[in-house]
Amino acid sequence: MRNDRGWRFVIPSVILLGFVALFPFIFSLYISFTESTAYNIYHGKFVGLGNYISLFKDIKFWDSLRVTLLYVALSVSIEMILGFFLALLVDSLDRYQRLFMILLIIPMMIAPLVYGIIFKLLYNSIYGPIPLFFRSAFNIELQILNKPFRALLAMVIVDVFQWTSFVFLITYSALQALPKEPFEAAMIDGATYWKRVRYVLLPLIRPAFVVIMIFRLMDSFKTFDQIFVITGGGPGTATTTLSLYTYFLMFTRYNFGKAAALTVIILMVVIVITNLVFKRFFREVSAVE
Amino acid sequence: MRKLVLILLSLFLVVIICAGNLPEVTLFCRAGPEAYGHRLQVEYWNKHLAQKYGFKVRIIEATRADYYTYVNNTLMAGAKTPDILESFSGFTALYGKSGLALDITDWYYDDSLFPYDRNDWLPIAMKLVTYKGRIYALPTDTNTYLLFYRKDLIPEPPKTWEELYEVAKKFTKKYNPNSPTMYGLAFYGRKSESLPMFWYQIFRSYGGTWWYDRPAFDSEPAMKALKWVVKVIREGLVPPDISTYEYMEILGALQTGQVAMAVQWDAAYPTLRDKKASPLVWDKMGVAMVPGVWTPEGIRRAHSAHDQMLVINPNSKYKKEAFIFIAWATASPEGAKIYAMAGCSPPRKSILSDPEVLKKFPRFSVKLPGLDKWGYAEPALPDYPEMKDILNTYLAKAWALEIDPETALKKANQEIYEFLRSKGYYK
Amino acid sequence: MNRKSKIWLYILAVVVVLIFNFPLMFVIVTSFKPLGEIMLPNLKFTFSPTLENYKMLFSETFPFGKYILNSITISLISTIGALAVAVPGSYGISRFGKVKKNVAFWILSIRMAPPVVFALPLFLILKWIKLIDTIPGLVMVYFTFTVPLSIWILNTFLMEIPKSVEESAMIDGATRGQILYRIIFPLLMPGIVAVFIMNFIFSWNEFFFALLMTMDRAVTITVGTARFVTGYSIYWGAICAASTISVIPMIIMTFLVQKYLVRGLTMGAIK
Repeated sequence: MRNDRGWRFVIPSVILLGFVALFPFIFSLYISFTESTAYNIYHGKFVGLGNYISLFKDIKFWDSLRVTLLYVALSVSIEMILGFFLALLVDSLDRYQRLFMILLIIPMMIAPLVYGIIFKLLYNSIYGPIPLFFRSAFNIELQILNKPFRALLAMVIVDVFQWTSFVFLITYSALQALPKEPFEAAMIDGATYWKRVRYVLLPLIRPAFVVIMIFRLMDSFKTFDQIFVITGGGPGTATTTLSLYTYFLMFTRYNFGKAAALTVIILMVVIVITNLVFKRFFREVSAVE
Repeated sequence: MRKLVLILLSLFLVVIICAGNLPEVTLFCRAGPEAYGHRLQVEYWNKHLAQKYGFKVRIIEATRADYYTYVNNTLMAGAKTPDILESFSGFTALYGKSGLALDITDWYYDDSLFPYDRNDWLPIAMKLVTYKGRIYALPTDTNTYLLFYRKDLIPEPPKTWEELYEVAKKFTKKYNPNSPTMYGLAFYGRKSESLPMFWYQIFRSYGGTWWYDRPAFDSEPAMKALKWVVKVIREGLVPPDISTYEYMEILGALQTGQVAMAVQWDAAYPTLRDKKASPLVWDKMGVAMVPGVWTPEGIRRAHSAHDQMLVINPNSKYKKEAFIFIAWATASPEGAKIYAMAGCSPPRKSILSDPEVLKKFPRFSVKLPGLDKWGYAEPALPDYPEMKDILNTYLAKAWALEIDPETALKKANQEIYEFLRSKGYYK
Repeated sequence: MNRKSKIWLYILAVVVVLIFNFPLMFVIVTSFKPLGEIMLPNLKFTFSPTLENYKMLFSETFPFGKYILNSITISLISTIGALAVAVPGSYGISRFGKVKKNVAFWILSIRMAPPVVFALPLFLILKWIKLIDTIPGLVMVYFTFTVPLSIWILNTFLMEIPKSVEESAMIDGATRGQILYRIIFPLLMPGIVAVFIMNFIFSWNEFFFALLMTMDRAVTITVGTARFVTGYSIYWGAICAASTISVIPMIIMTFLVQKYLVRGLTMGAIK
């Protein structure tokens, strides 16, 4: 096959993405070496790596990195497990599969912002239905947003409520596309249901599972709306993720230089993670060829 | 398919052209009481004054979430519209240094452009829009905190922070099972513009000042102030999720009748006295000055003051028209009164003591003396937003009981000092 | 499996559906509650239903109809536009080894970066080209996530289409472009539908960029919803009514194309 003219098809995407993504990146890179602030965006004093150094010394940066990683790890792993079992459940129903599928993917069609606003109401310690329920049913004063780890967990729960549906949808789609023969063969061999899942089904949907994981990793890494609405990064800095910290640096402090340095670091982290994921899994996904 | 998209795109570009007979000045403000007041002003202007002055005004209401980010981004990006923007006095120094807002000093002292009484302002209001002697905005509202309390439960509002603590304890279920309310007190807790401003009041009433030879946020009064807050939070006199508390949450807590007192912006008053919006408490809300501290000379209080203000976009096509309108809207007797009757608080002494306004909004009789005697402004530095956010972060950590007050303030002060030194304020 | 355990499976499925749709049900119920009955300090299951929240949406000060129209336009254009570049783009990536590695990697990185990374530079760029607070401006910003998502999903889908199909066409003298539009395009249809739905949902629900880049003319449904957090009160009821209205088209759309959606999102599960 001729390999030389493939670029032709890719050019429109590259130009478009170059304009909306590469250009901003170059801009950020430039700003990150200057002392840019609200009264001096473009002509800030050149400070070399000063902004990067001050970030690495900044304990709040490391805090937010830790919070982000914890948030991503917790929410993605819970979602993957729940989503997988939900897909198995719906897939094993004889009738109304599609109806249940639609009902289960509704959460991902609602704006994250709305989830934020609703859970803000649900969590409120005075009039929020969740603490009220615990108070009247078990006489427990449920305090959700007052302790750092608990608040982070509360944010993870919001994420799980919304995005398990995404994992479910794609796992379910993958299950539908699987060939039936291996299962029938295993069934004839007398393997139990869970054995079939473990030894036949899991290896088959592994590539799809990897893609879902990549998507979820990416999106939970970016989470902003719900956290911003519910806690605004608090209590203290317990739910200040990298996104929120960048946001505060940029639009509360107007320290554009440091914020840009942080965005460059985030991009580097992203590229490293992507690279790892890519090396490890992309070949696997594309092994179909 | 790509062609179709291009055609659609260009179509939309063409649609964005509008026409009108009189030139139209745009006023950008955030949804809420202020926008409601401005809307009434604009309606009045377009009906009665537009022909005389030769221009109309159009109001654009924006989402309250993140409002100032948008305003400052717009100014920084050098956009031509909107012509007038509602902003906040915390940015005055920044605007002054950067030229992001138009310097209106000369027009303000020109009698043909500003034919109103210049001595009628609350002094603090004009101080807040001035940076190095130049004026960058005109104040529409001067707001301060007041102590909101339940008149039916508390006959005499607490005068000092210690009294406030005692009364709050009395109305907390945990300590007093007969208490009709769950918690005694509510105040700001979410990292926001308002959190340091709330805390400054305790800090200043304990005798704090902004600077010694260094920033003074680790001084004795600061420690006392933060320890008071932490004590109240640790003992559970405030709702446990206090770290998420902002304007709306405090309002909600008062509206449900489960909190006996709150330190809240005075702008919440009309809502709390509205029977439909606050059916449980509308007839039980009293207001008092923010508590203070006893000194040999009597009680010392501090009232954080900030302005909502109208700035003029320096890239606007209609700068002079914009000035004529904001002068009318903020300082003219009819403009300011329309605004006051809508529930806002223009910093004009004549309006705040107008019997008709006072009858509708009795809080002004508390607020006017409070601001007049105890009002103070935040430090006027162009780099204040960043400095405030540093302090804010540490205060929020102390609020969350993550670190103890001493460490929080020491670290905050050190970081602020280093930051200011890097900006050349200290050698 | 016997009949009895099947019934238990259905019961389990119903319970799961109820749990995961609890927020939506809460939203719908709240949208019919009067303002005074939403924030109550005790649990109450009865209320007097009202339509005042829905009436509020279409009052003069909240031009909600306009926001819906804006959102529809923006989501449609950003979705279709992304597909227009992503179909050939993903074809190029999946069929040409040299291109694949670098470009796919780069595109994945863009998809992964938090929006806040692009926020300030994009704001300034839009200002320079005078597209702030316009529909084309916001569409352009949305391309930062719709295009990578499209390329990715289509790419995994394309890899499932055997190359032999193209090779035989190529022997018949068809050019690459002809192959793409005559042969690949129809085969790709489920993938395209799936991408369309996903992108539409993501654009429809986007809040961060819309908040930063619009103020009046191009305000979308999410920013419009946030406007009910006013200085007077959080109008929970109106927010819930707005959310209910904005989720209905999504559900209908998904219902209509469910078959394609499931076929289009297999993500390389077919061998």
